[in-house]
Amino acid sequence: MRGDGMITAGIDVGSTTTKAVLLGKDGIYSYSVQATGIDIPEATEQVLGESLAQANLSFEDIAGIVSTGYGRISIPFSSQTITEITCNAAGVHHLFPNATLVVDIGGQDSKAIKMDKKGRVRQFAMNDKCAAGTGKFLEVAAQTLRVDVEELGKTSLESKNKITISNTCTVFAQSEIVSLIARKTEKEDIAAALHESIGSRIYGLINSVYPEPKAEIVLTGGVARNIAIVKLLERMTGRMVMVPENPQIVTALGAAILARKVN
Amino acid sequence: MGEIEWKVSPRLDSQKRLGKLINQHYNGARELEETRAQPVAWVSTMSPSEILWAMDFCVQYPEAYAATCGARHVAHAHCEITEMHGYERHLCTYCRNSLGSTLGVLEGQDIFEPLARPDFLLVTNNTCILITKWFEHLSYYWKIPMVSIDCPVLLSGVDEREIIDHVKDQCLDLIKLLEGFTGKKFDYDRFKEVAGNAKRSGDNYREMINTSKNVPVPATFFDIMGHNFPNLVLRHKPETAEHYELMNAELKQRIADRIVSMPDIKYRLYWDGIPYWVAIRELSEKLQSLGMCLVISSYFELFAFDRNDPFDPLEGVAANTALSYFSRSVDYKAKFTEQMFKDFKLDAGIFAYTIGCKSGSIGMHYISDYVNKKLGAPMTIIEGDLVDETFYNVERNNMKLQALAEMLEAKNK
Ligand code: SF4
Repeated sequence: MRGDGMITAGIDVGSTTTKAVLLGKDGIYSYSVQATGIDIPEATEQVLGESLAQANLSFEDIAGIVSTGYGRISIPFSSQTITEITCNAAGVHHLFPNATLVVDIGGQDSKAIKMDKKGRVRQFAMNDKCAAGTGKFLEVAAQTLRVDVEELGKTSLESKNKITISNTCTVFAQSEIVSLIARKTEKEDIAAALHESIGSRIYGLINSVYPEPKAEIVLTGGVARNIAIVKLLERMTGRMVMVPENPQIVTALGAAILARKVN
Repeated sequence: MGEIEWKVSPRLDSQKRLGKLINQHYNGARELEETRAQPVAWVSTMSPSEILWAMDFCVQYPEAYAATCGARHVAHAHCEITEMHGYERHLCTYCRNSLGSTLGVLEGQDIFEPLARPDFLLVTNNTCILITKWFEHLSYYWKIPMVSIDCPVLLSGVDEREIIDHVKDQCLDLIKLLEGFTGKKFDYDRFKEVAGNAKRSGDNYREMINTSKNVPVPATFFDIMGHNFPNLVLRHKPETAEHYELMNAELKQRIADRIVSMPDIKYRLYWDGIPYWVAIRELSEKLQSLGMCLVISSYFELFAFDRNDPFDPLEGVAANTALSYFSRSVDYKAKFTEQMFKDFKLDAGIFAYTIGCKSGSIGMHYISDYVNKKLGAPMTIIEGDLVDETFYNVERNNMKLQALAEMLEAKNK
């Protein structure tokens, strides 16, 4: 066995992507992100296998595995399952030890987490079960607008005219976008309106955990890469928004950190 | 908590007696369909039913029926009937269940154990405003009279005496109207007798709730919740008080014999809101797997008719109706909940936001945050519906409950 028994793994099975992080004494050894697809065990084996290959390690080198995310119970080889709420808070606390407020926007859900300075969860709130206010909303909208989802944020920053999308429901918003396109509305303006709509959802979520007045936001999840969302949240909340280098793997990182304790 | 020396026995003997009481009530009501020996009234939960019982009505509760339909997983079919008649999906699902089963019966469809056909409707708006509209539609479909009693919301600073008097006047109007409807003079002695039985039943009901202050609880929230039924539907009968007396004796005996109904209790929990009848099994299994024992809920207040008075029955029923827990301000509820946390030694709370019951859910954020700030108890808000399972996401709610257990664990480290 290598790694002095200190290597742990965190696996986060999200609705859209599955992530694995291998953590050693000195920090992250490797990580991998893949589409979850329909076969969760296969996706987890792939991300873990790839992470191990990158770090030149084998399965036997791992001292403990914590799985998290909506598919957490489908992973046969994990030592324990812990919710994405606790894992996300642990990951953020590791990266930003003073943080007390996290917003995580994933593929099909978004959450706000209030924690104490020790990284313990104090309160959390999640979007209701529709996709409004999540990555899925932006993905569907980008498809309808025929813009790459990665570019949607930047496109929205080019907006010159303020318009409003009245539907936060993903399905209805889609048809609203189609009629806006038919009326020759600029796609930059539509993109900006979509971001406003998602932003107001997230703003409500943040308020529902009653954060400390001056707490800065750590934004995680795939959507954290979207610069327009970052700016929008800063404007709407009046709080500074910090984005980790790899916002998508923070929850898996937290799982790997907690695996040290399980172990 | 030292549960190790406690014996586990999930089933209460009182369940059998409860089953008998419920069956007798429904079978008796169904017989009336044939005999019409007594008039049948459909009534909303926090109404002065004592007046109807004193006039020898058989009283049935569409809300209780909806809960049963939810627990038996047949409510969704009733809800779909209302949708097919153009009612919208986000209406209260108790209401949809009731209108759907009514429309089904009237159209000759096969409906799950329907309530006996009503002759009269009595509704009180102390639970919410929608319920009056719901009963109005029942009145329209059944072509029968309806009386609505108005109870203003008890905002802080209101004069409770004035509100009780306001309800009392309406109770007198109701009595007059019922005299006309039945052709019988209102019997005040019978009213006193009914109020006396209801008081005895209510006192014993309160005692039953209070046994849950014991650590550990002799019976969980899930064991006790069904026993709300007699104090709602049958509190005018002496056998109901007897049922609670035996129940309380059983609970005390369990405490003396060191018997609990759930193993390995790590945390004592509060439930806010009407239960998700469609998901009772999922919830109880999940909570048990996490060592979380549901102890008590402010929901029980809806069935606690504490103010009945055989010496002044009109004052008693008016006060019960006017001062119901649902009519209280969110501020009152927050403080009341805080006190429950202290009295029942609770560690955490589950707030059950209900898609179909906005009025019962609207204050949840405020109350949970208030108690959390005051006592530091972790809370979670789950989402679902009382009777429509299509609004219930098992995986998501289980995740929230697990996160709550993790918060409790981290807090105690
Ligand atoms: S909305 Fe809530 S309080 Fe009103 S009738 Fe429906 S379940 Fe009862």
